[in-house]
Amino acid sequence: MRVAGPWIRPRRRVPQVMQAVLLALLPGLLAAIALQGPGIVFQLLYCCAGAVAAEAAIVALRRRPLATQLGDYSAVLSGVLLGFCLPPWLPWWQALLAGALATSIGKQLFGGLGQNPFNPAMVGYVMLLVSLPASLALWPADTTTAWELPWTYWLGLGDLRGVDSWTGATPLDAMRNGLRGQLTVTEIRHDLRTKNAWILAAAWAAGGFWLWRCRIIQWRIPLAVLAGVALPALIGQAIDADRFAPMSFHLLHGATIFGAIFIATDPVSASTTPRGRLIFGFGIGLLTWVIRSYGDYPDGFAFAVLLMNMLVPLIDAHTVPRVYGQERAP
Amino acid sequence: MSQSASHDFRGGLRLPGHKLYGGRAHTQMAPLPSALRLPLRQHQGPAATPCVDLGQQVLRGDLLAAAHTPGSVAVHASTSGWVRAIAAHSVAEGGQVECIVLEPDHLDQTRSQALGPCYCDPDTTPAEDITQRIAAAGVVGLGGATFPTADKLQAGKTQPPLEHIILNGAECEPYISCDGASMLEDAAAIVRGGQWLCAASGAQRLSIAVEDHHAAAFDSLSAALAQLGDPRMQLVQVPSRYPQGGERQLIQSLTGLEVPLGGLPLKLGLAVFNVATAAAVTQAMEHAQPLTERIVTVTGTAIANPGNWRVRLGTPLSTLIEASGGVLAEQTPRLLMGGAMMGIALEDMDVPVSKGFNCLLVGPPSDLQPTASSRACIRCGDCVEVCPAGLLPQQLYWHSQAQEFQAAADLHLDACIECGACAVVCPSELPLVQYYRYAKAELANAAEQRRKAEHAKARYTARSQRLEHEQAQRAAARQRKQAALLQAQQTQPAPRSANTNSPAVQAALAKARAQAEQSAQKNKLPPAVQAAQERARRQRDSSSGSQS
Repeated sequence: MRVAGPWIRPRRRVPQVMQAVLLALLPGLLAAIALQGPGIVFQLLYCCAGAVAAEAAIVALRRRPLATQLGDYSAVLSGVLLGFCLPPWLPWWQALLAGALATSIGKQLFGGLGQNPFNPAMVGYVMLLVSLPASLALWPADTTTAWELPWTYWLGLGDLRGVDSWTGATPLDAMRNGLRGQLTVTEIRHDLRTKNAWILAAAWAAGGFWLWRCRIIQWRIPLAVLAGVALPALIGQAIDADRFAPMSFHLLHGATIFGAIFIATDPVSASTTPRGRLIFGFGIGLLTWVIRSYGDYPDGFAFAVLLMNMLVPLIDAHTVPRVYGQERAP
Repeated sequence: MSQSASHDFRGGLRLPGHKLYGGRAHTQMAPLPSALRLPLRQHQGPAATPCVDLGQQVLRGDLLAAAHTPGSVAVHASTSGWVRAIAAHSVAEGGQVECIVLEPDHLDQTRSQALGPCYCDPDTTPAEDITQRIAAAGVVGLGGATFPTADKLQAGKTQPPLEHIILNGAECEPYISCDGASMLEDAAAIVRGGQWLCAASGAQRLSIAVEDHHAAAFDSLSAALAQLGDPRMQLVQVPSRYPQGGERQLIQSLTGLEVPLGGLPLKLGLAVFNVATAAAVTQAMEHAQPLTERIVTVTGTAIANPGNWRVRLGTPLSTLIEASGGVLAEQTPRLLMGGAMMGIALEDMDVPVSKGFNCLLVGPPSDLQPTASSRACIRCGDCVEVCPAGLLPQQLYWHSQAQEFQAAADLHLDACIECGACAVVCPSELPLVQYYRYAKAELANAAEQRRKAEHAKARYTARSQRLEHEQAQRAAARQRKQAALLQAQQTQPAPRSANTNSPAVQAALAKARAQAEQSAQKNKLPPAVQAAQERARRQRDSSSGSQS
């Protein structure tokens, strides 16, 4: 018979935590549909389907209770986060595959919930990126184009070889290609339209603010990621404003805000100590800036996350907080 | 006189209080049962020794069991009646303890000045007298820890001296409101008790801490302090956050200091006493009455009339439940001693109220249900946010689960106060406190094994040395004896039989030699038989050698 307490149930359980995060993604989803067309909804559906199916298969193989394991909504969340990273017209089987890889290799391989050292959504995305780089490089040119697409493309049934007339460079693509082509930053930014980016950023930030108020996420990781991107960008901007994109550009475009709030804060793969979380977040931001400025990929956020995931045990071991009564370090 | 706390403790979380306010907060006298069972051990320490006979008639306040062993606490009769038995009975803390069974005569007569003369002035009474009186009254910490108050005061006489006494009225745990009732009704006794404690220890400062949700208690104590007008004393309001009432957290809130790891508040010149303990001290000093009753909160969603009761020690819980209108739930309720966070489950409704029994929480099993199933830890870090000791509960959990107890000890598992804040916020509903208790028990077992091994080793080494020493002594004695003999031979004249060259001796020797040769020739055996005899002899020698 159980003798000791506590005898009060926790205020929030894992399924509720995951559902809260899904709710917080809603403003961003609406903004994404408005700006990139309804295809994004189907991407989310395919990724979720792949993620949940793969998890169900492996949980059944492991003879664990299916309802409990799937009922924590973590596979759904991984699928949804992954879906947001994909272009709205990605073929359905690629999205499905990415979702399946995310859950099976990114999570179940290591033992299921709580055991994975890497962020599952990023594992799925990176595996897709290195296997099918061409698919993930094609994005609609602008909002009008996105809404002009035939409905087959919305459902992910379209052929990507025929989208040339609708494709355009993303701001990060434009910046990278422009800098390689010896254009200055001012010239590149002249042609960029940033309105879409502002709307999306505001939508993600709204969701993030609500999560923070509900105490689902803490302030340390998101702010540290933003600082990690902002600081080197500021320094680069100060050194040579023509060759380094400014801080505002880095913060606004790409996965910075979305990643800082929703991806980097995945509790399982992030650092657990307060100081460790600051270091973890800052590292992600810093690596993102480095890959964007010097690397081949337009958006290095996924790789930055995976690299910092690898360092988490080391960070945790060296950032143990001071215990009550322990002498302060001199 | 009164102020808000100037500091705050780390972590903690706000919990719904479920306190009794208004009319329900005030105490009622609990009825006397048909039999009182007074455990001889109501605290962490050795049991008291009974000093009454069966059938003896006693009045309330008479000594039933004396504190002869150091660390034990005296037990007194809670009402007048007859001593009927001294037998083992189950107690709330678990297990069986010898109890004195007292049958009340329902006249409830009190021995006036049971402990001796009544004292009236803390400033003129010698500190030793105060400490002795508190010990004789059997006063222990009534906040639940039941540490003997006199021993705490005695310990405070070492260096550094006790400077600041804190009276703990911060009742932070959900459902418990007995201290609140005490502060409402016994405020004068509490502040007087504070003065007696200061006089006994030489402390120059006293703070009374009250949580900010309890305005009535605050007002009551303010009025009592104003009436007393002692400049050393002040009333402090602390935030209502669990576990504010924990000794270490309260010290941090009031003074900003942290008790060193593994140390006691005495190291900082501080001592914390519960408010009810202070009231009991006043009862002992000014009315010369020992500790025979305490306030118990009977509450919970399955009890008809929740309330605070003044209960005589030894009253069985069934009496309290009956007095509170009985249990509402159809199925067997869950009974807890204590609050909803650190309460202990009780199996028996018949256990007696002891000195540390502060609250009886009665709820249907579904209400007070610990987690049925837990998921894997998702490393969310909520537990780190709320831990008042600044630990990493998640890491302690991983190590305890993996049975890496030394790793958990290195992360200062011993600093855990088992408050349960981490388990309450855990989204995976992990039974964290259970894991820490398990790990602590394993570490304690390992330490005990090591101590026993060290002890055995020391004994073995001592024994080996002793044997060696004895052997050396014997050898020395033998040598001395031989030397003495040799010396004696040299100094004394040689006896007659020592001369081997005399003709008589030679003739005898020659005769013996001839006889031996004759018998050898007669007994000469063939070589084969001789060889067989040799073999047999050798076998016999070897077998006898192996046997020996």
